[in-house]
Amino acid sequence: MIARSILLAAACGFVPLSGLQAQEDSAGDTGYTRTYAIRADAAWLAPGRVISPAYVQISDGRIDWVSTQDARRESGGLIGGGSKPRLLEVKGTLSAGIVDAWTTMGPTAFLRDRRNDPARNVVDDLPVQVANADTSLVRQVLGAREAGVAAAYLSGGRNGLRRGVGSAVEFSALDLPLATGRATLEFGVGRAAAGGPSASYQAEELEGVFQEAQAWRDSWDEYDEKLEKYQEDLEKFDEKFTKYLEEKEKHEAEAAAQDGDKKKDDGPKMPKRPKRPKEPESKASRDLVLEALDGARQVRVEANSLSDLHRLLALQEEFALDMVILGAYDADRIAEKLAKAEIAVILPVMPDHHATGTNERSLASRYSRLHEAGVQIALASGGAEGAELLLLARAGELVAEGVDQDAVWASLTTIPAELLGMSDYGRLTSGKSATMVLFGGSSPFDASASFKAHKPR
Amino acid sequence: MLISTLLLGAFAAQSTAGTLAPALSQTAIQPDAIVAADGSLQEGKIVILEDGKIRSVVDQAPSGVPLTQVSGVLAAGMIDAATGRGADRFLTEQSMTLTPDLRAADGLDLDSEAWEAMLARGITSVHIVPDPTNPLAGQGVLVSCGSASGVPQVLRSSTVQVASLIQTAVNDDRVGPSSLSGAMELLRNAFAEGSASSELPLWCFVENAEGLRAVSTLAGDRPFHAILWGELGGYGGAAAGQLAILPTFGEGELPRRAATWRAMHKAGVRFAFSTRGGNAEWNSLRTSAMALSRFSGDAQAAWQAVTSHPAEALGMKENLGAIAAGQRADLVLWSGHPLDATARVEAVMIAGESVYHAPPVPKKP
Repeated sequence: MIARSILLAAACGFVPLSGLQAQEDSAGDTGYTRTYAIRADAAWLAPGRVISPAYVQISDGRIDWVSTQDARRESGGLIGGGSKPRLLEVKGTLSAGIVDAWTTMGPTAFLRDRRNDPARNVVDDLPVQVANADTSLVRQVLGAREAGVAAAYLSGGRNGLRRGVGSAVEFSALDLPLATGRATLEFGVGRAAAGGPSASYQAEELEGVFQEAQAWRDSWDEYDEKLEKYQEDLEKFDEKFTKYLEEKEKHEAEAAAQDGDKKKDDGPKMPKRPKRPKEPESKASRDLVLEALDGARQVRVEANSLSDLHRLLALQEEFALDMVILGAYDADRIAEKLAKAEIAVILPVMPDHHATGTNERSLASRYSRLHEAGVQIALASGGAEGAELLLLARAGELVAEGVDQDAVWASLTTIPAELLGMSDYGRLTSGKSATMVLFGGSSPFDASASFKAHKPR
Repeated sequence: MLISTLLLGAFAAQSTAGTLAPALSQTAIQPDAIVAADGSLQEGKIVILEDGKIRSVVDQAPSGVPLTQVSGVLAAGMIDAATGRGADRFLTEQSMTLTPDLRAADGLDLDSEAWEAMLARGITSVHIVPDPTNPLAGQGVLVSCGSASGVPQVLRSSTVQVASLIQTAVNDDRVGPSSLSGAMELLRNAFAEGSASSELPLWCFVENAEGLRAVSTLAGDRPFHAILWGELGGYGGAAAGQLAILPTFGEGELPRRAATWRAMHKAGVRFAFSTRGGNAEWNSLRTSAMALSRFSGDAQAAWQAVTSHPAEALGMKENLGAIAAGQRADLVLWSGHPLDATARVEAVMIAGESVYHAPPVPKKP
């Protein structure tokens, strides 16, 4: 696509400055250019929806159509007769790639910078789409791709209460992340907020962040009132001042007539000019919180303990936030309340003993409880580096322990795609991303059978 | 030899318990499929058991042999090549440098919950080795995780002589050598003087190619296996073609493991997985095998890494780790292929005796 747009630009007489395009210019341009079709034994279109056999046509990295029949058409070529797109025949079942809603991935510069800036945005550090722009990041993306991950979430920060802004990303032809999806704002409370004060204090502090923003917003009303009074005062001042000038002139004339005997001091007094009220001070980090208060940003909070989760529920209710909870170890204990508040959870598949201090209840039992209550659950690699390589093994264990396979697959694909606002991911239907997986066994969870990630061409 | 003695012992115990089964009676099990030695599924096979062993694997049940049809996939029980699980304390002696006679068998905890936990995950045998904190650490013990009487059984009380050249054994902080050459000198002397057993095979914890080469030379003709510790990237081709013991992964180690496991597999290293690493989870033996299968695309190597390769390293290839004639009947019934994450352990048999039944699966939500 990039190449094509450059060619197009050249054809139109524009000479591109360079092949490099900044993030904003190429957003959504993944760089895939080919049109081709794949025939597989079967395809999982969405959790629970299977077709067999499956034909999928792909162009520019997106799915044109999915069918049980070969629906390729001859393209109308400009020169000579058209030809059908190439067909690749493969063994196995195709499915949408995994959407990993919580990772440790990040641009090298961003990961090295350990400042605790609550307004930091990971997108600012995403490299431009040039081959090997960030080799370490490319390695991380390749690792994720190999594990069947098609899209991921790069976190704003890992520690502390206020973690800045992360971003959902898709992977380009150059194996670099491209920002997409819903705007977010990240926080962490409790033990998740490593190195911080005690858990309850942290949760209170999070409340404080939103209250401060709310108070700041309220202070504008006060300012408006003051401003109104100021303007009234200003008008009064104008009148007074005009009067003063008149009096002064009169006074001076009288003084001149009386031959300067009168002292200057006896003249009219100059009125005092009213002071303009001060505007409430603006702050980048607060603006982000205000956007979250307006529902324009999803609030992602890492929290695990029951007391913290209760506080988050109260916070969500008070400010009507669009909230997702990460970690959520004790979430199963208030599953109904979370479902009612429509708060989704992102459960890490690897146990994080540092965050929870305990790991007594199995992932399967916690997942089942939340699922029964109707909570939206995404399964993610979470805080553990490289855990995406175990996503499928861990998720498959849930099935072994009695959880419905379609529900588990949804937690790896459709649900995280929805949470991240990535409508192009999670399913195999027309218009969706063609970053897919191809598995040989009865499910993607079977490591005794073949498994391949499909990167579009 | 030891095995048959033990089996006779088990049989005797059974008789006194009043079991009416005639001696050497045969039984046949017909599962949906068995996991063959190459890791593939074979359908329609019947496994004939006799006296706690697998007599044969056939397509047709011989007449007169009671046939039990079971639903699921029958696989050999998994074997942990080297672990500390099942021991009741630290298997080390900190005040001495060389402890060739420290026996892991003396530190067994037969009441440990570990045994049941391992059976529930399809692990039927474990090789417990001393902590790698002394250059000569002691001797391992091979234990069967269960038996008809419910107690784990020692299959071999002195398996290997365990040595260690990793940093905890070779540093300045405690009694002992502070360099690799110093440690090698101690080991050489111990072998020359005969303070280290010359009959047992040698297993050595190493964490770099230098240590691996040094100890391979020292081992000479004696059976030798390396337990590859630390950053696996450091081995280069030194382990190429060997059957090596590798720790299963712990937290945060995965990205490096993926690349190095693939490279080692490519170099012809044959894996045998060990949970000696410390922070490995209960299920890490199987999860590591699944990961190896994915990284290498070689399901056979992955399955053998938790079955026949550990058995081979222990010199027990003919007795453990596969469904084949003459093998001990340590069998696990799975609901699917054991490397399929959605499969679960249904039942476990050790030496032909049922020792574990999984609780029913909770209702699907």
